Amino acid sequence: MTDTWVSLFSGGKDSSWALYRALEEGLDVSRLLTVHPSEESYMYHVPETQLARLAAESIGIELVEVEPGDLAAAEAVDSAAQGDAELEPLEAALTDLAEEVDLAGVTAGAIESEFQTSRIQGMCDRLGIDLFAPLWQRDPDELAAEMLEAGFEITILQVAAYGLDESWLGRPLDAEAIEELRELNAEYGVHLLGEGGEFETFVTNGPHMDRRIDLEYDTEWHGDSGRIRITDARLAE
Amino acid sequence: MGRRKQIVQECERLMDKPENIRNIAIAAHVDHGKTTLSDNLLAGAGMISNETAGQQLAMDTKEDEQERGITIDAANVSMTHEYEDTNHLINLIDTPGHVDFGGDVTRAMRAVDGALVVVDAVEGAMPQTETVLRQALREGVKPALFINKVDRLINELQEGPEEMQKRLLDVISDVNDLIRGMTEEKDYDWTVSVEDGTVGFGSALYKWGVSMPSMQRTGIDFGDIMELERSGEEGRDELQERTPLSDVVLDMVAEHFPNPVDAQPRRIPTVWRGDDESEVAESMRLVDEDGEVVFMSTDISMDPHAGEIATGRLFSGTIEKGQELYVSGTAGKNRIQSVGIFMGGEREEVEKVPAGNIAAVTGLKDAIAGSTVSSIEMTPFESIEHISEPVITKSVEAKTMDDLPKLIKTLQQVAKEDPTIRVEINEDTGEHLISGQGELHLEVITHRIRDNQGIDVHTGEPIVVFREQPQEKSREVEGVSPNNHNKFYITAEPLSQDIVDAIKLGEASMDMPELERREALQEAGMDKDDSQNVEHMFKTNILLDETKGIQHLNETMELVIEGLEDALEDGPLAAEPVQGALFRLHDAKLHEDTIHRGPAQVIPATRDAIHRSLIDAEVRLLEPIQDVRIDVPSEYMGNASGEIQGRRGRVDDMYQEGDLMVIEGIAPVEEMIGFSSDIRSATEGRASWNTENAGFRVLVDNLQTEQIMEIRERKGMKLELPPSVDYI
Ligand SMILES: Nc1nc2c(ncn2[C@@H]2O[C@H](COP(=O)(O)OP(=O)(O)O)[C@@H](O)[C@H]2O)c(=O)[nH]1
Ligand SMILES: [Mg+2]
Repeated sequence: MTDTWVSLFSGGKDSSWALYRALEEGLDVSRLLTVHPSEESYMYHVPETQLARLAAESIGIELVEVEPGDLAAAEAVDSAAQGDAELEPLEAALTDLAEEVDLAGVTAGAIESEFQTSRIQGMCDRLGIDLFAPLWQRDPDELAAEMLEAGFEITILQVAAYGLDESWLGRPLDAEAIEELRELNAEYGVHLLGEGGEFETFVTNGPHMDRRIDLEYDTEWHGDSGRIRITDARLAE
Repeated sequence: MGRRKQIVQECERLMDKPENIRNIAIAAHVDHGKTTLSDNLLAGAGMISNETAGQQLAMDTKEDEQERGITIDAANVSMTHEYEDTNHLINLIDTPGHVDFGGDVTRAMRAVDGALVVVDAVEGAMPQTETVLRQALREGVKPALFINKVDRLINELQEGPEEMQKRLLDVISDVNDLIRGMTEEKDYDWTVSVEDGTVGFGSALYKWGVSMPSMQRTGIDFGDIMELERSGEEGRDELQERTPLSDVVLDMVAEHFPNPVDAQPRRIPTVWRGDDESEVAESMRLVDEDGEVVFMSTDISMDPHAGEIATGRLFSGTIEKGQELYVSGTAGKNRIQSVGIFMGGEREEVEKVPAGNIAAVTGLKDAIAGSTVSSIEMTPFESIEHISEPVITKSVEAKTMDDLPKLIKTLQQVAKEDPTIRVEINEDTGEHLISGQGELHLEVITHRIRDNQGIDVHTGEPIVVFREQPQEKSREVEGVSPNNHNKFYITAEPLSQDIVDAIKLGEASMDMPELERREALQEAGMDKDDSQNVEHMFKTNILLDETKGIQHLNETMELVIEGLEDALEDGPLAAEPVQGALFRLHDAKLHEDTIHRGPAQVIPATRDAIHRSLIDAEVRLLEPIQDVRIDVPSEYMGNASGEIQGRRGRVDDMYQEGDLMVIEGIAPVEEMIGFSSDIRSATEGRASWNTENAGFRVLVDNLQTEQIMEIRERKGMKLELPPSVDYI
């Protein structure tokens, strides 16, 4: 096998978009790689990573799951050291993969996070592979429009930002929601696409998927943040 | 050529000679006779006919003022007066006397160099006499005294020469005590005296007046005055003819008030904190008409034809049509459309106005009362101090949909004209809020909306504005950002009254150079280390940064401050403003990645920490209180003092003054709503009374919860007290 790509994949809109763009560009993506983090992760999507399995099934690409064990992020003092520690299991998994396949690069969904991007770039350099980050430093407004245009159906799983209340949990990220976010951005500085963990999403349907994913859930709210708890998730008939 | 036209031309000629200009205000306790006196001066200068002076009240130009017989806006007028063979240009501002309009007085003081303080001979120095004197002296404005209504001593009180002399000297010595107390730290003596000619006496109603120099000149002494005043109309006419009030007062103005060239070098440093070595500082000191234009607007009014008129003091340069000027606090420039001076309530357009004068210009659409307007970008003038903050709020709603936009526009205009009014527009509910200095203040505003603008409005019951303040030192509390990655550790404690006062007086502010601020805060009793850690001041609250070397904190501080201000605008108890609190930022944990510590994270985290710290510091609700003084015949004394006591008030003093009893005390503003009609019926209209806002006081414990819930309900907040805090 030659020139295989791995998609760093959570099922959220950004990593899904990176994957979708890679496929559109004709890159041969042969694996989706997801890291199941402990609570309080600094770098990865916390909620419902299990959903990645259903997404992989719908997309039809093999999923590789990494269990990093206890990263103890909750007690982390220095976020830089923490970010590095989290990268280790990922780098180990990719090193393993490189033995199996001819690894050309990884795709990633970072938009503005220097923190995330510089670390992933460093890892790629060490592994001698490329980074495909089609969202990097793109205008959030344009990106949002492109995602909706392409037919992405996106559900909000978790919010943690001033101005985002319980009503956002489970809400579809559609044109109307984007419009509201634009106002919240002006008023409170909420990021239009939730960068910085302000909200997390899951893509339930899109042009790269065969079957839609149906979700059932409860909501949980503490103080000024909250998340949904998936009670049932299945691929639509 | 008409008389008026002649005066305008004469004024224009004199405008270029700063030595011959006097910018003055007349200020007094309500009803002591400012307006009547001003009319005398106008008549003396030929601006209105002598017969109508005293009845015409030319200065009370707005209809509601004439109806109510009180002066509301500071009106402006220019006139000329010949003294010692030199013609003088006198720019006069009449100031309101009612405490509800205190903001106007302070603004007027910024524009002038001399203040003629009018005191009623019968009543003597009253609370607002003290207030206006303080406002004048704080602005570096020189006072002189006119004791008015002397005719009443002679005719009503039938006083003999000795009694009268004693009474007048008592008034002078009371006023001098006030002046001395307020200028302790100054190197000049601004007390007034008969011998110097800085005190005048007379009757504005009957248009005569005397001073030491006038008595020497005319040979008329107090004996003659008593005789003539007693001999009816003829005697009074003779008095008016032989020693007219306007001459005596205008001579006093020309002789004793500083001209702009004398005044500006002293006043500029007290009202402007810019670089005193800069060119613009020099041209302001020199009143240089060829310098850069520096204008401070002290009043904005609306003219149906000309539009918005900004009146103010021109400290430097020459202002003329077509100039493009910067307006402090706004981006871009405004173009001057016309330039004028005031003659009685009317504006006369002139070609240009040079430095040292009071000008009235149009075209400054971005200016508000208090703006610095200049031809170069420069440090703005000190904000004009308002002695009292708004204490009462009323909702206003248009009755018909069609009036909605017009009402909003009018409210915005009102806020622009009067910075002591606060307006909150709510386009969603259509229920707008206006806050002001007292019941009357708001009444006058709604009256203007109804009658002048013809907008039919519904107004709500007046609501008192509260404050929240910590009562003790809190433990260290934590505020966490929604994403959990940023943490702030803060304590709260009350600030000492001395420091609060220093902030209120503008002695310590974020606008001044750091060293100066440190010194001012230390002077007010702040610890040296603390004064060095001051990171931000908001209203009367201070944030200290006691952290050391925390990475990214500097670039995050702006958001921390935003969160702090948010939290202080809406306190934790009832979303009322927080006052007099000191916060210490002890530690912070920040995510390394900028995108994880954006506004939607840091603002709520700080806000949260500030609220928690306040709750742990036993934050309490404070209510505004007023000093109340009632003058009443002794048979009504019991009823009158009952009106104070029955309002959760306290009577502090009762004493005889002349044939009246004076009752002094304090009462909460909330309970004072409706006082006006109650005291009238309790005393059959025989009481005269006066209130003055006296700051905020902790509401008694047994009313706290009830009051907090009442406010929360009104604001649609959750009807529960904020939960107590988890501490570190
Ligand atoms: N007897 C007497 N009454 C006066 C004199 N000056 C003013 N008044 C009256 O006092 C009241 C208040 O005067 P006004 O000029 O409106 O006072 P302001 O509130 O200070 O402007 C009016 O009824 C005047 O007629 C005076 O010299 N003698
Ligand atoms: Mg008046």
